[in-house]
Amino acid sequence: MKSGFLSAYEGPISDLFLLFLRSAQHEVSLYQQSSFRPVYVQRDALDFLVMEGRFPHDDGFLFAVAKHTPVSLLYLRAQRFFEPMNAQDEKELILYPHVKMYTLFDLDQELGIKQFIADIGAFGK
Amino acid sequence: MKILVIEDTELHVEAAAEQLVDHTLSFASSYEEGVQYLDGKKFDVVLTDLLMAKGGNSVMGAQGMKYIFDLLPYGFPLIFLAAKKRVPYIGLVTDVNHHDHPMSACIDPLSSAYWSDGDSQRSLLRINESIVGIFHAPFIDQKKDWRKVLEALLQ
Repeated sequence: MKSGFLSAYEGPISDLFLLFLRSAQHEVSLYQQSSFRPVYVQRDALDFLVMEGRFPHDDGFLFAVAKHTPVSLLYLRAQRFFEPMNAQDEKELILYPHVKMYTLFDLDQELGIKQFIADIGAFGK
Repeated sequence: MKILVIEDTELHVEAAAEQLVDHTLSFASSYEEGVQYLDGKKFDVVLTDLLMAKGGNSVMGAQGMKYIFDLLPYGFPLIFLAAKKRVPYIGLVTDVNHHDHPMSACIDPLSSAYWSDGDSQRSLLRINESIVGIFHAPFIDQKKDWRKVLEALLQ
């Protein structure tokens, strides 16, 4: 399937996410988060989007994109970097069933990465 | 004349390019792009759409980011900014029917519920030294008739 990776950060963590996507045999189009527009989803025939969250404004950007595109949006949220999503935003996220959030770097459980890999492996099958 | 057109609908951008071909045109497709043009250059006329996206995330924190792709009535702050920049003629022109969006309905008491040549003329405002018109668009072949708007402002 065709995925869009909304890149805001460079480095080995982002590279790792790209590697996971490519290993699952998905075509990956890279977009800079700062210049991404929801119309690109239709323009480029994307089946799903993946984005990273490391800072609070990434949560806001998630909602901005989710409001304007119906395709699945997988949000890799690195809780280690900043506070957990606030309660109001968590409630609001329920309104967007096409968004799935993965909490990464949860040192106690470490489930986020495993779930993400399982889900992208199942896409298109 | 140097005219800035702030419009995010391609059909209406093309119409402006065709209809105002005798003028020096600049085009912006979002609020932030419009602001950049107004900050950087002088214009004789600014013609702006009502509803558009912000076009960037400058200044936005976590809560503000949620709205950056929403079509919001940036036309209103843009006309005030243009007046502040002393643009002589400023037009806000929406193609949205007043039944279809509350911000479009807000234009009715400012000019009229739909374009009419007489009402549009009589509804012109003055903000500082700028002549300002806020209109429901006249159309020609389903495209905004920018020439008609410009004539109304210049008369």
